[in-house]
This record gives sequence, C-alpha cells and structure tokens, in this order.
Amino acid sequence: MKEFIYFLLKIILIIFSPPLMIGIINRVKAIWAGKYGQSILQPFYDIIKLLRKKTIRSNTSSFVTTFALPLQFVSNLIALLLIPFGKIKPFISFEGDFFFFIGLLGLSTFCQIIMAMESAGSFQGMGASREINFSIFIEPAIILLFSSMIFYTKSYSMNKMLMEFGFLSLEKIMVGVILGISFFLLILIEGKRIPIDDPATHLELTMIHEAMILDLSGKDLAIAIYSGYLRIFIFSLITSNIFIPTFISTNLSILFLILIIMFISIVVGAIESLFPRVRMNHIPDFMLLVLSLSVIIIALMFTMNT
Amino acid sequence: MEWCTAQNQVIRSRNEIPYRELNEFQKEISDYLDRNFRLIAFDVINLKENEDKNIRNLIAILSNDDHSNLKVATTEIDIREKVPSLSLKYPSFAIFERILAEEHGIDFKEHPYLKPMRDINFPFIYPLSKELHQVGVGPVHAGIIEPGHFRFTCEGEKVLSLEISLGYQKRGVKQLLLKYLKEKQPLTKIFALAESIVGDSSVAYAHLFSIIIESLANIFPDKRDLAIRGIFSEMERIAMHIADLSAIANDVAYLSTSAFLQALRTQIINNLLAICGSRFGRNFFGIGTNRLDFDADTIENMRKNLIDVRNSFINICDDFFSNAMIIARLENTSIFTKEYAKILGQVGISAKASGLPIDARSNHPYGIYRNFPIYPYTLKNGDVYSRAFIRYIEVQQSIKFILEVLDYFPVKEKNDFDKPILKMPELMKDSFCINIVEGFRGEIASFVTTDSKKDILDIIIVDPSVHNWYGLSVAMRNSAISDFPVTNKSFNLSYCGNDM
Repeated sequence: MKEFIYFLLKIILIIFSPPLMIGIINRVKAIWAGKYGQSILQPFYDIIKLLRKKTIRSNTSSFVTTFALPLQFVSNLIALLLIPFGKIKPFISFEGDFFFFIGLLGLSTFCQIIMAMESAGSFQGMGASREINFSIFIEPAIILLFSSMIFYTKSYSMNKMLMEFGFLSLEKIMVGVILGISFFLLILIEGKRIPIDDPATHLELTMIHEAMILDLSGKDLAIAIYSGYLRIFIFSLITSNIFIPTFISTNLSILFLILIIMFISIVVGAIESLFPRVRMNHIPDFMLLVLSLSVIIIALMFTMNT
Repeated sequence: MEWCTAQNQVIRSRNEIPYRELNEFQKEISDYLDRNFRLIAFDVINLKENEDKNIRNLIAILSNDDHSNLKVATTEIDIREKVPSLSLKYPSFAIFERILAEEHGIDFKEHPYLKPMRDINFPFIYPLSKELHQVGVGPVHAGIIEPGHFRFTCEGEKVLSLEISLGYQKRGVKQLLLKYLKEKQPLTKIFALAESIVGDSSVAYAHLFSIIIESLANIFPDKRDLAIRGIFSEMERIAMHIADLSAIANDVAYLSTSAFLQALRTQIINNLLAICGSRFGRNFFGIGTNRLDFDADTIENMRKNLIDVRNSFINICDDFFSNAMIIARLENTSIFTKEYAKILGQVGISAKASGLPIDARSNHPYGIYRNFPIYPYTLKNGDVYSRAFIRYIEVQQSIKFILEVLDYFPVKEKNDFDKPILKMPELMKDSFCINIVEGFRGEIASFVTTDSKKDILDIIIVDPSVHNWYGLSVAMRNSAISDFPVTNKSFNLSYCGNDM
C-alpha cells in the first residue's frame, strides 16, 4: 500500500512539478519588477492552449521532426525516471545508469538540434550552432560531478549515489556545497535561464533555446516546451537530493524535497531579476565555471584520499 | 568665395542664395567640410517657378557648430547628365545622393552603392564565399517596432556587414504637407499632419512647424510662450529617453529596471496629458503663441512631479549603470568611433556618445534656449554604454532645465489670447529660412522658401534618422550579431522619419 502511494506521488510530482516551478519563477520575477504577475498555474494553461491548437510545420521539414520531437521528450522523461525522489526509489535503477542518464541528455539535445536544423530557417540554424557550441562544455562537467559522488558513496547507480550522499556529514560538507552549487548552475544552464539565455525574449538574434523552437507550433510546441520544463526539473531534483540529509525518514524526505524545489524556484526567479544576461561570447566562461568547479571537486577527492 | 551665411530662424531674401556652377559648387563644399563644417541637408529644391523639367536646383546646407552659422548655396543640374559623386570623399553625402537618385533619377557616377533608399524590392549584396551566411530580420518584427528589413552578412557570430532596407513607411508626408500648405488647409489639420511626421517626436515636429511659420511671417512670440514650448520639448525628451533606457534594460534582460523606468515614463506623459489632453503633447502648439497657458496649479504639479521623477530616476539609474554585469554587457559593445561619427555626419545621441558635441540647443539656439542654454555632454567611447549614459545625463539636464525655467517663469507681457491662434499669418515673399530644432533623437532641420505670391514654394525636412541609420550599420561591423538588438535600441532611430 505504501509503495503504491509513493508510486502515485512520484507520478504526480513528475507531471505537475515542472510547470509549477516555471510558474513560481515567473511569479517571483513579476513581484521583483513591482507587478502583480500572472497566475502560478499559467504554464499549465499555456500548454493546454497549445495542445488545442492546430499544428503547422515548415515545408522543408520531413520525417525527422516527426520522430525527433517525441524522442526528445521521451529521453528527457526517462532521464527523470532514473533520479530518486528524496528517499523514494526511482522507477528505473541499475549499476552504471549515470552513463545512461548522460547519454539520454545528449540524445535529447541532439534531437532538438536536428529538429531546428531541419526547418532551414536562419534563426534556427543560429540557435542550433550556439546550443551545440555551449553544450560541449557541460557534458564533461556532469561526468566529473557524478564521478566525485561515486568516489564518496562507492556506488554506481544514481539511486544509491544520490540517496547515500550525506550532505551534512562532516567530511563531505565541502564537496557537498560545491556539488550543490555546480548542479544549481546546471539548472540555469540546462534550463536556459537568464544569465545564459532569456526565456521571455522576443529578439530572434539573441535567442538560443527559443530560436530552436521558433518554427514549431501547436502540439509540437507544447511538447518542446514541456521537454524544456522537464530539463529544469531534472537538475533541480538532483540538486535537492544532494541537500537532503541521510538520517531523516522517507516521509520527511518528501517534504524536504518539495520545500527545496520551491526554494530553488524562488532563487532562480530572484537571480533572473537581479542579473542581466551575459554577452554571448562570455557564455562559455559561465560554462567553464561549472567545469572548473567539477575539477576542484576531483582535486579535493585526491587530497582526501591520500 | 563665401556662401550665404544664414542662422537658425533668421529669414533672408531668396535672391541671397548664391548660385554656383556644379564643379565650383562641389569644390567649395569640400573646402567647407575640410574647415570643420558638417552637412545638414543636401537636396533638390524648387527655387524658381515654372522651370525646365529636366533641370533641378540642388541645395547644400552646411553648419559650423562652433560659430552657430549655416552656409547655403545652390547649383543647377541636368538630370540627363551624370553628376560626379561626393560620397567617396565625404560619406555623409552617400545617403542624400541615394535619396536624390531614387526620387529625381539623378545618376551619380562613382557612387559606391547607389541603391534606392526607400525601395523595398531592391536586391541585397550577396556574399560569394561559402564560409559566410546571411541572416535576414524583418520587415515584421517581434514586439512593437516599425517595419524595416535588416540583412546581416555574418561569419559565424561576427557581423561583417549590415544592410538596412527601409521604405515600408513611405507615405509621401512631405509632399502632403506642401500640398496642404499650398491649398491653405485649416491650420489644425496641418499641425496634426506635422505632428504625425514622426509620431514619437510630435512635440519636436510641432515646434519646428511653429517656428517655420513664425520666422517666415516675422512673428515673435511672447517669452512665456517660448518657455512653455521649451518645457514641452524637454518633457518629450525626458519621456522618450526614459523609454529608451527601459528598452535597453529589457534587451539585456534586466527586468526590474525596465519595469520601473516604464512606470516613470508614464508619470511624465500623464503630466503632459493633464496639461494638454494628449500624452504625446499634441494639439498644443500654435502660431505666435500656444493654444494653452500654464496656471499656478499646473506649474506646482509639474514641479512636484518632476522632483519625484528625478529622485526615482537617479536611484534606478545609479543601480543600473553601476551594476558590474551591466557594465560588462554594455561596455565595448558595438563601438562607433569619433572618426566614423564625424565623417558620416552623425547627429544626436550617437554623435554625443562618440565625442561630437552636436546639439541644436547650444549650437543653433532657438526660443527659450537662448536664455537657458543646455550644453551637450559628450563621452568618448561610442559604445552602447555611452549611448545609454548620455540619455541618463540628458534626462537630468532636462529636468534641471524645466525646474529652472519654472522658477524664473516669465509673466505674460501682452495678452494675445484674443488673437486667432490657429490662423495662417501672412508670410514674407521671396524669402527663405532655415529652422533647426533638437528633437530627442537629434537635430531636425528644415529649409523653406516662399514665392512672390507669399505662398510656401518648397520645403525640405531632414530627420536625424536619415543621418544616423548609416551609423548603425557601421557600428554593427565586426561586432556580434547577438548584440544587434541592444545596439539598435541604443540608437533608437525612426523608421518613418527616414521614409517620410
């Protein structure tokens, strides 16, 4: 019975949390700008509105869009299924699944890029080239971050890795802080939030993620937008798992998880209000920050080992 | 040989404009331009009635900003013959020659790129190299801006050239204005047309039209009316500069500054609404005097409002301009050097941000600016940060100016409200007049002539955007394509002012 409730809880969190996070972020931004702001549920309404609309595709698009779009969505979804929710086990778990996780993220990025290239618009090509340019720096950083967690927990599945990583234990607090910050920065980078990319922009020439979905409409656009939300949720989930202490009960860990995710949304909203976008040629610096943090963790690992 | 020396708002006889042969004319232009003069207008003008169809009168207006004088001369050209171009040596002529080629079919030989200025169907430069790609933006843009097409030739993220194709807003408004004036249409209608030449600087254009008619009719308005006109112009400048700063902040995704500045702009334009019933200051200017006077309440409200706006504005902008990430984003973005600004004949914000002190309020003072001059501040970097910062300074200058004028507000000496304000006065015959006002984008210049029947014969209006669009495309060279939106906002040029 308990297992079944947890199962339902996980499904509810997976379906409703990603748009809700965006709703909270938008609300925080609005409050910061002195406005009343839209409803927290607005992302849901937007997706429902788009699902009702007719889908129009570019004349140049072929079967690639037809299969790349669901593939992108499904790969993000499966990646989400690999992550535990607090102390609740994930849907899928096996030894070495973090490689699978990284592969899925890469596959989703790849699908998005070929989809953008296919519509043959000049903005989509520009967005795709920027995306591929910047994601080069991210993949090694994620591998290094996971490998440091393997070092401390001696386990190769994401389930154990994240569940057993006790942030509050004395020897891990330094690594925990750096890991938390790195994964938090990855939320901003992978979610294409403000210091990197402006999700609210209407300027075609400065877009990265928005440029790639510029040609989609209706149901296609709804799926692409929801995939983007899932991407943010994946990394927020990892970040909050790192900060959940090991010694608390399962029920309490769920509460912790929801609170931390809400806190993350508020912090992302505050960052979006307080910082402007960095210049396009300074974005790699931001990515290299994450990469260098992961290298620092590896260095710490060796010093603690000896 | 010296040309005819004119001054802003001073009426002269039409016969005083010297006539030169074409080669002499061009040689003297280059002499003047080498002697620290700059080009204000270069256009065809109708100087004689009933002339030959193939003969055109070309007029050049040059300005020496240090000594507040303007030089005028004319020449005659036959449109069937080729005319040597001045653009290669003096690039500020390039735009004017393109306009002449389009409108009058004058063929300029050796012009580097004689593309029609306002023809939307003309092809673009196409790169032959496969390493380069082109990106086209517009004419329909996201957001609420006017139509215009931008064609970038890029090497990766770097822009090698930007070609701007305008003309979607061509309404023939100058010809319509001339037609209205000749038909002696009611003055309210003519004012409404003048205010809509460029909708966001309607105060500046109404001001220009008022002083054109007043100088041609030798009317000298009361000092109090001039003061009110100055206040109106500065209110428009404050509102538009705040809106521009808000747009720049929005483009770099600095949301709170953007939202706060938009709210401040509303405070300013609502003040205009309370005074004259239009948020853009329309239906206010008249000939000889204004349609309304300020009472004690208006003055008190305005003073209170402006002090309030100034406090909030300085707080918001201090935060904005001292934010390290904003500085990193805006500094050294799309640099436009002083040398380029000078040879391209830039005016307004882009000239001041590049270190050229060009401002009609101090170079060619008119109205209340003779008593309360506003000196142009300049910065030397010429990047987006400087163009934004110039706006920050100018808003403070304008608020200071208005508060000063309100403190020493002159009393109306003669009560001329019984006079018909909106009646066309009798103009001087056979004369010409150059009028320059400083809109928020830069100087708006006009040249008007009257014929022997005391009617207006021809009119030239040059919007600052005509000079500055070229500057935008030069500023974009070798900068990143993703910097274009913020660079465009920092120039904030008018599409309809260019297309007329």
